[in-house]
Amino acid sequence: MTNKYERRLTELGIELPEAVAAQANYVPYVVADDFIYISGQIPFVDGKPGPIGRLGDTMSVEDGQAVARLCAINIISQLKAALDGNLDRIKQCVKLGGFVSCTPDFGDQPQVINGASDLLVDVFGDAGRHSRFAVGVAALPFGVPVEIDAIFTKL
Amino acid sequence: MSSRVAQRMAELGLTLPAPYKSSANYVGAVLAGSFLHISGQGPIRGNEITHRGKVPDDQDLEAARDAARISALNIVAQASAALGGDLDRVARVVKLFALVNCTTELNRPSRAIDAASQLMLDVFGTEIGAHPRVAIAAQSLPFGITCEIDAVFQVREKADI
Repeated sequence: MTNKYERRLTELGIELPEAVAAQANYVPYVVADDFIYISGQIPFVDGKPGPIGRLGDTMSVEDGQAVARLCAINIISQLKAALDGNLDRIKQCVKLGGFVSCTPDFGDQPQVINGASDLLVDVFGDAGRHSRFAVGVAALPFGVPVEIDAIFTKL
Repeated sequence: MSSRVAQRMAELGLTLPAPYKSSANYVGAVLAGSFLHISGQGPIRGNEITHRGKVPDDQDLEAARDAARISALNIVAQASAALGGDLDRVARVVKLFALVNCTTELNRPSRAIDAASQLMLDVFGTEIGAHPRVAIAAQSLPFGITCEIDAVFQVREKADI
């Protein structure tokens, strides 16, 4: 069965955005043997980084989860570009690194990053089951609330 | 067959805890080729958090070192579970990525994480346990834990004893 993950994305009502170009002198992904390293992905709204916000302050956990989901969708866009358009070549999501911009006393980073973890398992099934870490940081690029990087393997 | 790592742990008086299992949609470790990627581990024993709060306000440096040691032992427990209990399959500790829940006064989070690095050396020996690492101060950590450490190990198919 071909395009199984594309079909799953369609079922979920997800239209992959164009893979976002790197914002400076680095690349959005590197393919090293069977590994695909994807640069930290942030959310974009209408082509601009956003929404802007900080957990524990100007953004709720639910809204943070939605942003983490957007980051995961951007990760999938980068994956598709790295695999010449063929998502079926994904073998496994190996690791997610979840960075949450938040107040010093905020402790719900895992719940926020679940927005990304849940989506990856929804789309890729067992191939989407990953290891991960989640950390609270003082600030992220452009003031976005979540940034997520990823490592995948390919077939 | 005697296990080198198990023997060393017994000499150190270390017992492997049960690996922490999250109810969320991620797993404790993923083996990809010869690389074992382990999820960020915190100071947790028997699903109870042992060290919560920031260094140095809520936890002094010595307590933070204990938290780092417990987190490192939890990394070893995840590796053991992923490798069918055979820690002799660990060929190299490739990287530790360590986060310390700090107030701005703690200018050397590395001093806490040294205890985690030492545990890797003690458990696996210098040749396998010596690793590069990153140790940074985090704004905050999940559930307020005092530290979190993520790891990558290189593993081999079978131990060549």
